[in-house]
Amino acid sequence: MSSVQLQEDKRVFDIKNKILLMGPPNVGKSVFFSDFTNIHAISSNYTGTTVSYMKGTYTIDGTEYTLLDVPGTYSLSATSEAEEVAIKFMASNPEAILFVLNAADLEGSIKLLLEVLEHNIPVVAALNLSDVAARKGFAINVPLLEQELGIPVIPTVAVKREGFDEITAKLGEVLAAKQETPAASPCAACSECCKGRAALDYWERAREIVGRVVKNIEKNPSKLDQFGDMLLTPWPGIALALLITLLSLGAVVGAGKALRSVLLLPLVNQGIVPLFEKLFSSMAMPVMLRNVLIGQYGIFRISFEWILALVMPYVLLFQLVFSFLEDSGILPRMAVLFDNMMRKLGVQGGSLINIMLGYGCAVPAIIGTRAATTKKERLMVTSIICFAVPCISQTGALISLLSEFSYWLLLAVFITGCFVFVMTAIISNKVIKGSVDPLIIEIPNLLIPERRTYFKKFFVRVKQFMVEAEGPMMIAVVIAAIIAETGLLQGISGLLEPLVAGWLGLPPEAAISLILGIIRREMSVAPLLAMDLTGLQMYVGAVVSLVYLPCMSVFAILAKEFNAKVALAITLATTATALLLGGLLNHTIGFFLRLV
Amino acid sequence: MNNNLYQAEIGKNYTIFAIPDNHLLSCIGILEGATIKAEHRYGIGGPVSISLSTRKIAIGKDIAEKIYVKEVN
Repeated sequence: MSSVQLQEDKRVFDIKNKILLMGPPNVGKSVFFSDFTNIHAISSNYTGTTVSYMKGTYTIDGTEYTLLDVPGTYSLSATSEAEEVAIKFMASNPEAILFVLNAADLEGSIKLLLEVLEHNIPVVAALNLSDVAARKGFAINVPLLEQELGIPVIPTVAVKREGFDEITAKLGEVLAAKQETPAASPCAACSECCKGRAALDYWERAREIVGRVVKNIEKNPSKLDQFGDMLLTPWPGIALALLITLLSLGAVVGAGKALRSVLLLPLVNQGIVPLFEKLFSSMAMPVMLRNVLIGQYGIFRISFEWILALVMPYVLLFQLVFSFLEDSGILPRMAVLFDNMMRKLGVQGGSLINIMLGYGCAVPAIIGTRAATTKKERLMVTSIICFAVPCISQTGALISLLSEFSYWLLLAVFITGCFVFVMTAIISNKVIKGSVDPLIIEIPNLLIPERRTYFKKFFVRVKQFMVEAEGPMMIAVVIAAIIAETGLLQGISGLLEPLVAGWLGLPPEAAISLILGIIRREMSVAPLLAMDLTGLQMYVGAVVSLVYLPCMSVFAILAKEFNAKVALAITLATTATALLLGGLLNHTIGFFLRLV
Repeated sequence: MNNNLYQAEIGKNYTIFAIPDNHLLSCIGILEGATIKAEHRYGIGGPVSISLSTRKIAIGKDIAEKIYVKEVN
């Protein structure tokens, strides 16, 4: 897989035999790309999933082409990074363009297509989302549209792969025809759109074309469209959005817990671990090595207890639920409904989508902030994610830890998390210079995710998690096993005792949490499970691990997306805040508990 | 009657006659002369949502207040 950041690698412009995949945002380009190249691009039902471009091999009539998934833009006026890249790509001698039109919003996509056509590159258009258009009662006269635009147009339903073979065949024809009559040299100077007259002209021509080719059949809005509209009204929209959030949370917590206690815990405790116990006891080895392998903190015990039984059930459930929210178009509606609250905090509703992505994993969420229009917004959202948003692995571990004691404790930690969220927003808004642009968001139609695309995305996400998280998790497990089973931990615990025991009120051996938390967030919670903590200790431990420094992967992505200074500043600030807040909570709550 | 978009009456159609210089607005099709329908206004500083031909767009309060509209009769 090669997903390339926008700024880097100029060589991509020199690639021969390029075909560009273009279109407005959120029209399903990623689905085309995945199918034609067998490289999976993540698609979602909101604007800006492809913030970097991707390239893959696309074979047409036996010839290999490089298909480039260009980020979706509304225009080609070189005023944003994504648009600049799109223009550069068009000026780099591509063989052809596969343009994806949105049949449910033909006007907007024809306007962009008109701009693209100015560049004199052969274009084949896919008329995607034609099922949604039919649902909404738009009858599109495709032959007339082809005539108006002067290019081939093929109706498609990308998520069902309808029309894909025709696209490849048509591209083949266009490319063969091009061999015979070379096209005029591309003109890269058309960047006047979106400014005054030029933009208006494109829009006007687009409107005329739509007026001729689309017939509006009066149709009662479908149940889905009615629900989509309802979700968008202040009432009952907000209530529905909260209900959906609650149901999603309930599904992740409930089903995750069930999966853990019914299937995975018995599998680990009665199946896998005893098997390794037997295996290692039959082998002759030094006691210390045996302990490192299968002792209380042994590698072959905790790697299964922590990774398989603790983290995996919640990761699976979260991806299942979140992919549905993403593909359905519910998230942008939430962005609209809660924009007022986000605005009071100094950001705008659109950043809610990135923050929610962060409840899965901070890394894609921080990459997703590239779509933010100002530097300040990017930094604010990133700070919020690093301080107050636990990733799903950590959430899973926290649920296991806290709900054993009481669901009220879980609620208390959740409320503390919200408090940190608000404080982070307020403080970062004060500290970071610059401004945040108000919300401007296109609201997509509500869709029922198509099964094949949905599950493919689910499996890709889970696989991605395994590939990316397995390594760091195993490193954490090995470190835990070594320091706990060799006696190193006693030394470290003694050293950190004033902090861990004196200030935070945790058992001295909880020092292991602070060490493992550097590598992975859930690893700061996992050791606490076996420590027989009091309610207050659990609460303090949970809060510290929630705010504590982001994991190594997040540090790396912060350094890459911003710079080492930002990564270091966030790391220091989160660590200091976590320890300060944890200690304060321990002492104040402890004080009141002693009074009672 | 001339008004800014934020004060537009919900459910009525308007023609835009002045917009601030904002790239995203013009790219999404919110241009002088465009006809829109005000759909919802979200309280406590929330956005205004409008429909513009087949699109639904939400626009934050701070920028909606700078978009001037004329009611279509």
